[in-house]
Amino acid sequence: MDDLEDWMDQHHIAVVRTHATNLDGTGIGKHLKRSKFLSYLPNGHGMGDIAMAMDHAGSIHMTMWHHEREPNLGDIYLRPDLNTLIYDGTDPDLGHCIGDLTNAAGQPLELCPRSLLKKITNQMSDSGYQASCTFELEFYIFQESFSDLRAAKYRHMTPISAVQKGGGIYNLRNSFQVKPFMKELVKRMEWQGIAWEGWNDEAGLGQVELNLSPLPPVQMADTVVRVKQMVYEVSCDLGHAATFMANLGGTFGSGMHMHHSLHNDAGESLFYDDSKEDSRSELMTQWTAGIVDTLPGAVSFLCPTVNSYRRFKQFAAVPMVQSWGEDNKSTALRLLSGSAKGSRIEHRLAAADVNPYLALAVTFAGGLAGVEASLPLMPEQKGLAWGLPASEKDLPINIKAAAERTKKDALLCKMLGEPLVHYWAKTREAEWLAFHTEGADATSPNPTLWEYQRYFELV
Amino acid sequence: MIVTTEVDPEPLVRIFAAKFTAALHQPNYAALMTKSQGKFSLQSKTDPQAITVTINTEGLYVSSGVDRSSAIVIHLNIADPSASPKVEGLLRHPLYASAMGKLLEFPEIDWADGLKRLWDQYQDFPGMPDGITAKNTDEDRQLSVGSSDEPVYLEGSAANLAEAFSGGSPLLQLLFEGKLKGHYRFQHIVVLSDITLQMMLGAD
Repeated sequence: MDDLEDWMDQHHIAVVRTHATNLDGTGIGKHLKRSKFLSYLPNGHGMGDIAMAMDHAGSIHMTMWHHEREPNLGDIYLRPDLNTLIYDGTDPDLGHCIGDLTNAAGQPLELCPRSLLKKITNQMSDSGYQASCTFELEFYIFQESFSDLRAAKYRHMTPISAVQKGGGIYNLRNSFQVKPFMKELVKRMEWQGIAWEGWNDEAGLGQVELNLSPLPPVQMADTVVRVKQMVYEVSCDLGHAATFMANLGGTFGSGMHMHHSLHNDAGESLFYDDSKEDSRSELMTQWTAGIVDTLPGAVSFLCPTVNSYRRFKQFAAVPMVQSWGEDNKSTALRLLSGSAKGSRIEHRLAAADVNPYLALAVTFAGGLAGVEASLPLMPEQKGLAWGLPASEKDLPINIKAAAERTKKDALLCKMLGEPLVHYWAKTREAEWLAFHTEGADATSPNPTLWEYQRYFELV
Repeated sequence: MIVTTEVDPEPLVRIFAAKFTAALHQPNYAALMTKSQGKFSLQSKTDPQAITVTINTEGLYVSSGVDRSSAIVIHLNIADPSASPKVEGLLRHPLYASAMGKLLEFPEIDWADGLKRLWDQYQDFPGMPDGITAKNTDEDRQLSVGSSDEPVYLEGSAANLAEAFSGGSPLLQLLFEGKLKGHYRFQHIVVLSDITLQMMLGAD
């Protein structure tokens, strides 16, 4: 405690913002006076349990029950993980601390995404697997402010881009246009100790991809939620609007590709085996088999919103079928198995609006299940995985169908816990129902105002 | 006669398919439906929701959207069924429009029968209360199902109780709107709202 107070003194911390995420990935927490934050340790502060049982529009989950919810409403707790305490950098008084949602006894809640990921990674550790992972964040940046776009009902949005038609990728003139925004963003990231590797102009107008440096899973997901919050704050401070909505109507949506590899406690790759012709260890083969096998069930977690499914278009850089391939960017899993240092799996399905804790949890749950059951790996997709004839390998491409597949996935139910999986599926069905019954035009080929108003600023 | 829907049906398709399916249990209604072959559409006045109902010798089929070949299109306020609908095609097909109007007057469900049926079907559903007591305030009549020292207690008009117990609206919506009142635990009302929503959407 003395060390903690010394650190807070050293960094002039007067207020701490606590931060957890609900199932949708929305950041929730409080700004606490330093003395109060310290007095609440180690259990953290209370908050209404509806904080974890509320949708993007603030509607409480009223047609789904989970045994961890309070019988007559009540409090849950946000237990700070002091390893995540950092200073804001921009606000000289402010510190940030990420935490887990617990019950009054301090036990982690099944509905807490961060706790779920910890549970899965602990299982991996028990088996001797340590993961290293990273995410590619894609998002769009617009000239207008959030309030401008709200007032204009999200019409006539001006991408920050050198060209306003067509596009390209890696275009340096487009990059130059977004540089002031990105420069501010990476400056703040560095203030907070967030390691990044690079950023570039992406295929959509005003779309940027930001690559983060690899970290262990929980720290990586913590970093993603922090960077997403930071993108929002930089947007507000610079008078622009940025969004992680998965699709804004153009060809190219925003995804969140995840790379991961496994190693042992000594840091040696568990995916690489130089005695094999394909350099893939048996573990990598079974691990991949599990992820591929559970892919249809995992879609719901990886594509959580109605808008996520607008990404699913042939030849639009989004996987459409249950598939894997060596260095194949059209498959759901792109394996890179060539070297001890670089052997990894790139999972290309997640939408930019994904909750990163759940994305990693469902992916690793699949991998673990594959190893536990020694699942065989389906044949590699040798050619392009787009424009294929309809088959049973087609992924579910709407939120309702994906939720159905999740509920029926016995492996995911076993690994993640059936109550959590069924609760999740019901939240997605509620999202589907809201979309259809709250005024959105379900037949619209483009994102509806309902989607913009629900997701643009929050995902 | 059987009721079917398009694959992956939208909520309004499911809601009407469930209503038709339930109504077919009434012999008079089933006879009316058999005589009502043709195609008509329902279009919401307040949002883009729409369905088309096709009745032929094979059964009744519900799909989403307005089919251009529909004889009539009924524009209605889905949130307020008592509001007068506007009927497109009325002059060209007056008899058909009249018959479809009758078809959309779904048979009234007795609230007590509805409660008994709900209990029979869902009493073992996870999280259900041990008992439910409902009071019809029109007639000051009360019915209890199950056995509990602390049942969920609901009171309201016969029509609103019937609405809840037949899956006409999710229970919670009726409580929010003040159409029903009662004593209950939050958990129980969430679970009952889940059940009534499933009934409304025609559970898979």
